[in-house]
Amino acid sequence: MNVPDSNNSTKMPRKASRKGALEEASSGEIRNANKDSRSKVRAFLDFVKQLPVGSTLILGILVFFAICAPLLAPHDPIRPVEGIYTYTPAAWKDGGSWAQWLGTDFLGRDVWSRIIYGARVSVIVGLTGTAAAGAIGMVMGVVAGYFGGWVDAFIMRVVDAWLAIPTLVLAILLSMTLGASMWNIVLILGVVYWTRYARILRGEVLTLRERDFVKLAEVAGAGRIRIITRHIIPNVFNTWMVLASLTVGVVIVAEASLSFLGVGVPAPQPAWGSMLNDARAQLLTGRWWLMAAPAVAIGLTVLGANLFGDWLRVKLDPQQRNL
Amino acid sequence: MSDASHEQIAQAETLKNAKTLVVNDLVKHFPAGRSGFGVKANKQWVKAVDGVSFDIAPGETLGLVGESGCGKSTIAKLILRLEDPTSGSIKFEGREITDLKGDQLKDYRRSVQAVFQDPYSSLSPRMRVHDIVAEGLRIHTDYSKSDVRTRVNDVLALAGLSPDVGRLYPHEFSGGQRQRIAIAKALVLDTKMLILDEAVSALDVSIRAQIITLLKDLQQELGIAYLYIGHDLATVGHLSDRVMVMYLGRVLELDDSIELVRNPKHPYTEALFAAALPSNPDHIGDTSEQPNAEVPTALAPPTGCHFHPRCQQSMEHCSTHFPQEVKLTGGRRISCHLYPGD
Amino acid sequence: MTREILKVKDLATHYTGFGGSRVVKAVDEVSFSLEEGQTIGIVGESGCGKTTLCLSLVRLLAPGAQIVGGSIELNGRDILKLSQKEMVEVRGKEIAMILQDPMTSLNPVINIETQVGEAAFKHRGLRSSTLRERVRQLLEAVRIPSPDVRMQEFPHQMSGGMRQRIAGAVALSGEPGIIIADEPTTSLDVTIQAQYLDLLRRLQKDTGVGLIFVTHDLGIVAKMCDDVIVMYAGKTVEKGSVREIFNNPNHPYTSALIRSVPKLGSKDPLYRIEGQPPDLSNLPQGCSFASRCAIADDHCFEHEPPLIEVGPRRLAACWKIEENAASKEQA
Repeated sequence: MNVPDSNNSTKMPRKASRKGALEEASSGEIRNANKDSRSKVRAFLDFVKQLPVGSTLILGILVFFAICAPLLAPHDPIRPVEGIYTYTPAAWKDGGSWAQWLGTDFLGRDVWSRIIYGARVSVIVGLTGTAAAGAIGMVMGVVAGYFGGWVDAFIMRVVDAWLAIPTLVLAILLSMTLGASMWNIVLILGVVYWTRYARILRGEVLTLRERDFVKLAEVAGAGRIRIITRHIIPNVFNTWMVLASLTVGVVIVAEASLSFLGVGVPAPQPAWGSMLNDARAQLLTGRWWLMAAPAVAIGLTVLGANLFGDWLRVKLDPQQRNL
Repeated sequence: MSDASHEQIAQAETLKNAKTLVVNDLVKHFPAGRSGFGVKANKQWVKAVDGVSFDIAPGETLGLVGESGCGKSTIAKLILRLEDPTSGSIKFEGREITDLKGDQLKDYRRSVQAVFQDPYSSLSPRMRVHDIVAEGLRIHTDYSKSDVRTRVNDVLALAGLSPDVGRLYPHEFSGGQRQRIAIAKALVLDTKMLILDEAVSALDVSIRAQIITLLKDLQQELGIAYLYIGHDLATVGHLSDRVMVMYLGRVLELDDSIELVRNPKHPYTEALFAAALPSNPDHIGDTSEQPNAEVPTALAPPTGCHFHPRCQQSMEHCSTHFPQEVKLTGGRRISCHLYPGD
Repeated sequence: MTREILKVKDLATHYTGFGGSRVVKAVDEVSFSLEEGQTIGIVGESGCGKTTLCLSLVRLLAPGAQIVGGSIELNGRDILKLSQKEMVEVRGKEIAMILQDPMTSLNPVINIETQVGEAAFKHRGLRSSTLRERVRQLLEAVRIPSPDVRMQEFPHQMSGGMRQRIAGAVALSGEPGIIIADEPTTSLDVTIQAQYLDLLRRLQKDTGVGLIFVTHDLGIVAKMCDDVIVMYAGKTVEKGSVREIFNNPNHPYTSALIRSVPKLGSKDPLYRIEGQPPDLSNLPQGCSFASRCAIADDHCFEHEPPLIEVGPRRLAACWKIEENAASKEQA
């Protein structure tokens, strides 16, 4: 890869290079020494080039929808579209237009606009919920793995107990106690899904703790906090990232499920889960597209997130342990 | 007690204090097997280190040889305070270190550092070389950024590396270069003693010679005491002033390294040297008298002298009594019934 | 010496990576032959291609590696012309391997009897009681105490030394003519190593098996081998009998290697080969050892030295052989 650089070194004045053999070795042996000299733009382009096309596209569009919803949505997602009281997409009607191409719901709100706004909830809850779970799981896993002993035993028994409770039941229970709001949902999902991080990170930390560089840090006089923040956490971060990317999809589905059950993001805020619920009654009257739109949105998003997670796992975890 | 004897004791004390490290009757027992959550089964103990005494002077290298399971790495961990001893004392520059805590322990860690065997495990993969080497300074000093940089570059140069390597990550280096980084890291503070646990074993032959020479040069320059732990007799003998032979947690023989190689007295030392690989095909030793059995585990060491089941010269009471250590003329320490005390 | 059982000629194994843009010449025109009951040592530092060489001999190369030239004649036929299916018949029956780590070379969930007996079952057609008898013989041959009990046990119940001896029994099981031992004693203790090497010699005497020792440890070579091939950066730099190589090395790399190893009971400063072995994917022009060589001159940096005959059964690849010999006489 760095052929030009190494060619240079062979063309160095030979006598000199032989005399300072040691110096030469220490700089000559270093691979990728000219990494920094490569322009940042090139590096970024290289990074973009190797991204998986499909999942990046799906996630990109999703994030774009979430950020630019007010600009993209043709109608207000909360108010009925003026003068239109029909479920059928306008395009399907004679002489219709693309104005409400996915139709309107039972309150006459434009479904397409609600899908676009709904991306916000999915993105925000998906990312922050995953991060919340990741944060709790990181702390628990690292503490259990690093300190060991009864702390470890205690945390791991809590994890076992947690895993014995059906996640959705726990989430519903918490949501009903705490009250439904978007940030409560984030918190709840964090509390529900931290165990998957904790278990795997604990295992990682257990092996890391035995690595020589951790022992040497202790020999150097580093305190526990320093060892954890400088030596342990940076080395489990890749695993954490992979876990997070594989959790996003699960969290999005969980949020949709809660919203569908009416204990999620409260109406009238548009969320894909609650749109599914709204469309339930219309399914009996054959207006399947009202159900199809949010379902496809959820499906694509989860597919994109999981594909991206798989790609990230292969990239960050060359040994392909089955996380 | 008379004044004279008091004086003698005081003199002996100062002599002892001149040593960098004095280890006395060190014992470390590990519980065997795992104890479950709150369940205490009747525990078995592994006597990893079982009454070991030795000392190291400033600028001296003590070699520690023995086969796996003889307790040599445990000794390193005890001195480095990565493990706490069951009993016995370790004095560093006259100060007992086995019960140090908090700031005092942190202070001790300024002067004793280690270089381990595996250069791929001893450097944190996600830190730049500069930060790896500078860690000791950041923990113990309040050097400014430029002071840290100067010091790091100095020790990198000591270890034969150019300052440019600081911004790179460990994976960009070969094993030999990594070991140089590990050595630089160990020297960044005012190090007085280095524990070298198989520090060159994982390296290629040509690189090994570089690192051995580097270690010798550094010792000459800085007057650091080394404890070199290894299984390769030739390397240990080459690096060390004195060599200590251990077997299943006990010291069997200790003497000047050249003396020990020329004239091994303990049957185990003899066996070890006989088993060593020749440096030339013309010097293939007679290896027919090899101890046959496997090395017993430290969990259930043989009674009496631990070596007796494998010993060619074992006698009746070898299986019942552990031989007392005696000091032969010339200063050799040996514990073997072939060399009884007075 | 008797029958020639293996003849490797100009063997070249290359790795191609990065979409074929880079070619790593891991083994570059290596030739040697092995006779019955002979031991040949292949020495070199990590990355010199010695492991690739021995994987080439059994054609078990990793994907990406390819034998691009030369021939490997095993008992008179070129195994490079065989299909992978036919190779299965060759491995274990004519040529077997002992690897460095007995922990991973034995299957942890299969008992010793099955593992040791596998090749005898497959290649020699032994069944039931004859097979068991054969396994017992093999275990006795590698000095496993109470073989009847041990053959029912699993690898984790054995010590490292015992596991490596069992790996030896596995290799012997198909009665191969050649055993390749790739750093077989690195994970063993000194006394266990000596036992194991003695055991291999005794087995060789009894069975007439040809041994190929791949190692970085010159001590093992000195102790075990008849002939030595010194490899550097994928190429043979020197070849000859072990005594010749140790007492009168022709290549500066060989002599530097020998002088850089600590000797028991000597504290003379070690010879230091400065620098690092070159990157195989990016070899310099000329002699690949030149940048680390004490006697290299401009000619060495520009032209690659050929492997030439420098004496009876002696080969070396160096421009400075005469000069080197002269300087040694002075010293």
